[in-house]
Amino acid sequence: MVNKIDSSFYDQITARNSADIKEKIKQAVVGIAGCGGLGSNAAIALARIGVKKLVITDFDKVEPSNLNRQQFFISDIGKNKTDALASFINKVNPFITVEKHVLKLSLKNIFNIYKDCPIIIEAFDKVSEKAMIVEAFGDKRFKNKFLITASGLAGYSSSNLIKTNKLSKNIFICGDNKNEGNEKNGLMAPRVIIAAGHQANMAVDLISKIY
Amino acid sequence: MKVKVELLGLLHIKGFKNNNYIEVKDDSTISDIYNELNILKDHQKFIIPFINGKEVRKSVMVNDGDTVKIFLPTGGG
Repeated sequence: MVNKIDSSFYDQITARNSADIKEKIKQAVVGIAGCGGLGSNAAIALARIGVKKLVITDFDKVEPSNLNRQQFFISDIGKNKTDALASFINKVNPFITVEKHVLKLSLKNIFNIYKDCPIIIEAFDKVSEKAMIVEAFGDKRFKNKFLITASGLAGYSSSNLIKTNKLSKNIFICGDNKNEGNEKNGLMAPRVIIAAGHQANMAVDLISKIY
Repeated sequence: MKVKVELLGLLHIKGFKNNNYIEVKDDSTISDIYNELNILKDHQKFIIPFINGKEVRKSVMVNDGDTVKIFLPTGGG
């Protein structure tokens, strides 16, 4: 039985991380705005590589229809997504600090919630919320931070259409920029996870540069 | 004067070939470009404009040769 309190266990969990950024990952703080399909998958990816801290926000509770793409279990149904995700993260890597916020993000609270996060992953469902966070990055309080947003990840079109593109000096977009998550297209784990993987990998790239 | 316009996300405008130059009057703003492209008012409220890679308000004026990116995010997550 491994002693989870022993910090050498952290080194064992992250033994296969890329050697050149192992120490940087250990110091990294990343914000996750939304804990649904994108947010839960990106958070778990970053938890597995052992970032220092994740600041997660969502106002919603886990529903059965989330389970086709989000990192939750049947036993999580009815729980706050932030609590369920924090519990999963703790099972993957107990050394990660998770700061949870159960609320709806807006231009009134976002600057305070993510003030200590140099990198923020946008993982909202609605267009209005995605637009809100991009708008926040036009404010001087976020001018030195990086946003990794997502646009176009629905359905089951080719995986290869999903790309990471640079929108401005500190905003990146992951997705195909086309397939909207509506009733016809649906939202399914394979493509959502690809887009979330793009977001998490872009975060790692930024961690390698700013830490 | 001419500005280059790139549409990102859900925006597809009939008759406009993406990533191309459009002719606008001197002192035109981003809002004027929206109107020039006949972008629906409902869409305008969710659009994020960028001039030469910098996020701007829609009241900002464009200059000859600027690259304007107009981003309307696609829902789903």
